[in-house]
Amino acid sequence: MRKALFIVSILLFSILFFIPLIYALSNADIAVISDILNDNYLKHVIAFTFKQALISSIISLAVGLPGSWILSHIDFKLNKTIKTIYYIPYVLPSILVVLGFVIFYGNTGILSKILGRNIHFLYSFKAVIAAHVFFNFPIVANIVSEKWQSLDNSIEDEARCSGVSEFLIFKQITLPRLRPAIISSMILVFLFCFTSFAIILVLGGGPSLSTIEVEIYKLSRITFNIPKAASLSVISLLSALIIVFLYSLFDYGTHTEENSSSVKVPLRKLSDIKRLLVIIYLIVSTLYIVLPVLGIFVRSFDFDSLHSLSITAVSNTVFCALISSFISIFIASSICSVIKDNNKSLLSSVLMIPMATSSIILGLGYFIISSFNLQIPDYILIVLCHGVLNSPYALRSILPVYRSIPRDTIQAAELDGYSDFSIFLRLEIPYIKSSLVSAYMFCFALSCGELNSTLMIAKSDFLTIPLQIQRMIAAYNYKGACAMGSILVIMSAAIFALSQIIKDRRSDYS
Amino acid sequence: MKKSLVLFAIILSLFPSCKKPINKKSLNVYCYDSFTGDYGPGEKLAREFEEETGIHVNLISCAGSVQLYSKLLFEGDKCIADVVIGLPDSIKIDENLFYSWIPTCKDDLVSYNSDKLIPFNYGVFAFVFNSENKSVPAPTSLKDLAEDIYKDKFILVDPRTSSVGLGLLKWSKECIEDYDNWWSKVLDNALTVADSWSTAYGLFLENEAPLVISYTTSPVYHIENENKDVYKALEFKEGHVATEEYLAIMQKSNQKEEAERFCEYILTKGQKDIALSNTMYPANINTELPASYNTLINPVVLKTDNKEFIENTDSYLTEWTNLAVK
Repeated sequence: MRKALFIVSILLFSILFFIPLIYALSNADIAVISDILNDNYLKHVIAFTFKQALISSIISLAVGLPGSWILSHIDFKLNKTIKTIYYIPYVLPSILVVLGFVIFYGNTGILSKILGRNIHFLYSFKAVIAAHVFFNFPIVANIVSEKWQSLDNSIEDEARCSGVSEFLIFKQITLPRLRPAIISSMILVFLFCFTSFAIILVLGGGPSLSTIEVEIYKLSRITFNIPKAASLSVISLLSALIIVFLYSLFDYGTHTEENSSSVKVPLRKLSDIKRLLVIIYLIVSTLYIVLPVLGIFVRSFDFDSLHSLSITAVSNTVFCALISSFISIFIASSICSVIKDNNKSLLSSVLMIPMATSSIILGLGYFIISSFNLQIPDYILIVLCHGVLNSPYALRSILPVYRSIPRDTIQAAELDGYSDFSIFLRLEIPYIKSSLVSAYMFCFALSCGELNSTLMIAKSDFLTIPLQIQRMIAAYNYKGACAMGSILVIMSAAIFALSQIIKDRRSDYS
Repeated sequence: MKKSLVLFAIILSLFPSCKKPINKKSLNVYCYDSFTGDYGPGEKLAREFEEETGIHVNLISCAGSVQLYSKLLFEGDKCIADVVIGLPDSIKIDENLFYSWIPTCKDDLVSYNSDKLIPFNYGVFAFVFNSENKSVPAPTSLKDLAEDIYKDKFILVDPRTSSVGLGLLKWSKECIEDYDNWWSKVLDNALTVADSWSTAYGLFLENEAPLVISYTTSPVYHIENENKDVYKALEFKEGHVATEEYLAIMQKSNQKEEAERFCEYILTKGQKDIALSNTMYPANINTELPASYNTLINPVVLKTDNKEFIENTDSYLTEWTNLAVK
């Protein structure tokens, strides 16, 4: 039975992911790819995609590194609150970030009103970079701080006692051990920025600030030039694969586990200047995240905006999220049940591929399928696409818990003569139940906020909350967009908070 | 078990109710988004037509008019449209897709050059200015927009995705001698180049910039619906160019009779709503225009060779995108 579920999951994953991807890429043409690489405009688009991703990554790293030091070295009262706030960009749908930026940083936005003058910030390169940094500096801060906290500081302490300067200690002792975490966070940030869509679509300033993903969208959904969209998708995927390959070449840092001996220093024990700098950093970084989101709520408190609330969009969003999340956890848990004993499973790597694949390209594949005369409603395709896109997140959530099931408990059940299916149903499933629920909720939140693939697949009369927000922004109905945005923020926050409570309860229990 | 049943019931109740199968007895009408939007004439026209004739109209929004035509080509045999409203006059259109018919009000239309593509409204391109924004004086010519004082002061629309953007391209081709330099400077000065007219106009109404490319008739909406006359269309020294938008009946439609009735309605009784809510000049010259139309500018409209422009649209767009990324 376990094997049957596993085979069904593999088949489901293959059908839902590889088939649309193959359809998307198979419409590419060598001649068209050659035309693209000789087209002045598209060459500029490709170059700009790399340029903005690189600059965004570097700035995210520069902004995130101080935060990672603070989170791993300083003990302060609001440590947990700051960490939670740093998670907001991670779970916030990109269309909400865009909306928050328009409301807060727009020419007549909240910041302009506070400063008493119009600020020209949006629809420019700096707005794109700023929005990317908003999303990504917390990722750098969280990933690097986790690694930094796990380091054995006794080496640094010995060097300090020998009179070595802090700068040399950091450069020659700490940095090489932090390098894998820094590089992996930079690669992640680079890939996110490389495949960025909503931010470029709205906050960019036109053709000079367009990226590959935006062009794929325009070519497929506005001019319906599928061969060109598919050819550009091939270039995008190959570029992403080269980046990941280069990462693996440069990933020669130490991966040895260390016995962490780090003890956090209380904030009050820092020197005055250091304490001031830490406080300034925490306040500025927190406000940077929170203010645009608050702006959405402030702007939505308007009775005029109530009539823009679309119950249909909310119910469609919940419908897609409810079913797609089942698909995600079914695929993830069935595969986990088989690979749990294998620490370096090729299959778990394969299941991660959707994370690295642009949702625009996968959406293109589903859009091509929708154009065949198969009478599959677009909302079914959206559900299937979300299901497979979010399955890696479900896997990452469920697999560690699955692997933590005590081996001797399983062996005892086997010795007592229980069948493999009984063990799966009566032992493993109850054990991982909390992680299943929290993974479900996380996938639910992700599906609620997913815009890119939905925009590619949905016909004009099917609305979800992110689609409606995007259309309202495009139709200058900012009040309505904020009203819908507030609903999405509340839904995402509530679901994410609940999933964290269940996760924490699970770790308390174990 | 109970919980599963409750969950199943919730899922069933949420089944996309908006996705009713399109009633095969309804007329499917493809149109651009501002026609079907909250402020457009589409919903009212469809409702009144149904009350009069009993024929239900499904309005299907297709973003801008450029996307509207691309969608028809892409869908090919799978296209479900009976009627298309909003085809632009600035791109090459294959008339074989459409059905030939003669409206009874043919002689009342401002122009009539084809039995397949019938104009239902027309407009004159102009920059609209927010007179409450005192940051810059109103420009008096296209050439002014290349001046430094207009940096970040106007919003343009992408000609690759919008007929309004194409309109400015055509206008500049007619009037600007130093075309490359002018566009280089104008693209540098523009606050942003939006994908669609709706987005550009929305940014303008949000006061992101005091100027936007639009039509001479755009102020009508604000005068009629908001009692605001701060938005002014500007008359430029070089003269202006005009544009027509067409409606057409699909050759494949198996409801041609119903389609003709709806199109006749748009071209006669529907013209007043076109004037009021689509804020374009109605093609039927017998339409009584709202009083607010008397306040509009009547600029010199240049006679242009539309066929020549259409033949060269692709190369003009390539030229424009190369200038945009220089």
